[in-house]
Amino acid sequence: MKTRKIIFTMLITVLLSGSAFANFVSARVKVTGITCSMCSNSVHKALSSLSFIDKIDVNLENAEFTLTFKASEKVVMDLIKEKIEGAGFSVGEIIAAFKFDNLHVKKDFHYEFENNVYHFVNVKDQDLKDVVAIRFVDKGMTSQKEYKKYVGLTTYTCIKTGKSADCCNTASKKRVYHITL
Amino acid sequence: MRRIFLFLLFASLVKGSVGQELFPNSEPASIVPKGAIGLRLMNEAYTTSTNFKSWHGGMFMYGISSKLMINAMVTTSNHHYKELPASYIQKDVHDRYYIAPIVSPSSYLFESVNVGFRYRFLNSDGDHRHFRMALYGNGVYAAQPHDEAEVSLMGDNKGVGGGVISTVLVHKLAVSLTAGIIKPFSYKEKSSAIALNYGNAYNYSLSFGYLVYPFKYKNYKQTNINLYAEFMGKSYEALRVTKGDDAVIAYNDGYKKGNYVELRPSVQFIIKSNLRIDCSTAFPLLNKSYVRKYPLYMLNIQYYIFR
Repeated sequence: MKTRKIIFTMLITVLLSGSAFANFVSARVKVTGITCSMCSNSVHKALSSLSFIDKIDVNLENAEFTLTFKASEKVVMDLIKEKIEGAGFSVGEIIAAFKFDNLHVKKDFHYEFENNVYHFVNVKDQDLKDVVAIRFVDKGMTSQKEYKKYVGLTTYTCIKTGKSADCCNTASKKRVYHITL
Repeated sequence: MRRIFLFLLFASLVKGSVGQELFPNSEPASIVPKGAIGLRLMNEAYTTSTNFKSWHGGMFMYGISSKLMINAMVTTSNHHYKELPASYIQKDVHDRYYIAPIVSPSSYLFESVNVGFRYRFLNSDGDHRHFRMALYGNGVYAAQPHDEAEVSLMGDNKGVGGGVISTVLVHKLAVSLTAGIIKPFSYKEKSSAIALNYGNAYNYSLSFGYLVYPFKYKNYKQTNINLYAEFMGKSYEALRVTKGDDAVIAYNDGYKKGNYVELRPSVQFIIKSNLRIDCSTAFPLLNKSYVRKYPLYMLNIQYYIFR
């Protein structure tokens, strides 16, 4: 319920901001292993050093960070993961609000965006427009259990390495993020 | 005092508050965040029948990566003489060397420089829970004599040490177990040909921590209050004193091998999610330490600088 509320807030924010291009708007990141406000503070300080983050809101009780991104800068999810791990904790979940510019997706569709590839795992045929919540299922970006579940839902091997392989028809080797809706 | 503390401990356990692992008297398996600098001031005091004794340490910590941190510490105290007093060894009527009691010093001496690391080699994070294991190691330079069998790497002795730390947080209870070894180096005085040959020591601790306030985290400005109970033990070998090739007789119990376990209750305040103030005291539970006199009072202040 809470998740839905947050996503709804994210959606509203974006609709009001009304950018015409595809981009990351915000993300809700759940950090695991945190037990005190001092730990949350370490994560907060580490995340504040990322230039593409405009604003950080935190729910200390649940160790959830809501990040609002700058529309003008490239968002690198790996850096978010790196900063959290650097502070001594782990990522439990990343749900991002992404503004799509009419994109048709289906199972194992690879979407190239800002020089990275986003692999849709286990999704139905559909058109995505406006703000949609996407969930990262790469190793270290969700729980180990969820990651394993999604590995079983695709025949593509790139989910194991996070890099483009023979399975993905990309021209050069790229970072492949695995997402679901 | 002890009863009140135990009551508070169980009261908080029953209430089911979140466990805390920022132990005042031992280190958790967690480390300083990557790139952050930690500064800690440590103070320990007690009184003897004639003297006020205190020990002070300043520690610098730095997180190199998410798994490795380094630390450096300097210490001072009025526990030691720079050299052994001339009257330290006497001859008895049988022409044997024995150790004469020394009057404890009152002036402060720069004691030691300690450098170390902590490496977190295992990490399993979950929702409000984690299990971590780390290895630690220290090397200490100290120039002064320590005329007691119980050795330490907190300023008393020159030597090396290391161990393993396991910290677990399950169902709102934080528990940490540390087991370590201390390998001290001998103290030798050329002019008097006196050598203090220390044996190894083993240190172990079991720490529990509880958050008592706030009941719910709302913002970083809330002061956190944590209660801790730490059981700290040490066992050490006898101190062998020699003068030239001769063994020196020691009558004092402080030169014999021993072991003890202390209970260290603490209350900790965390202000604005960064400034950490620990107030602790120590009582003997099983045997006692000959190096200090109970009760001990400790006050630590720690601050992180994020860059």
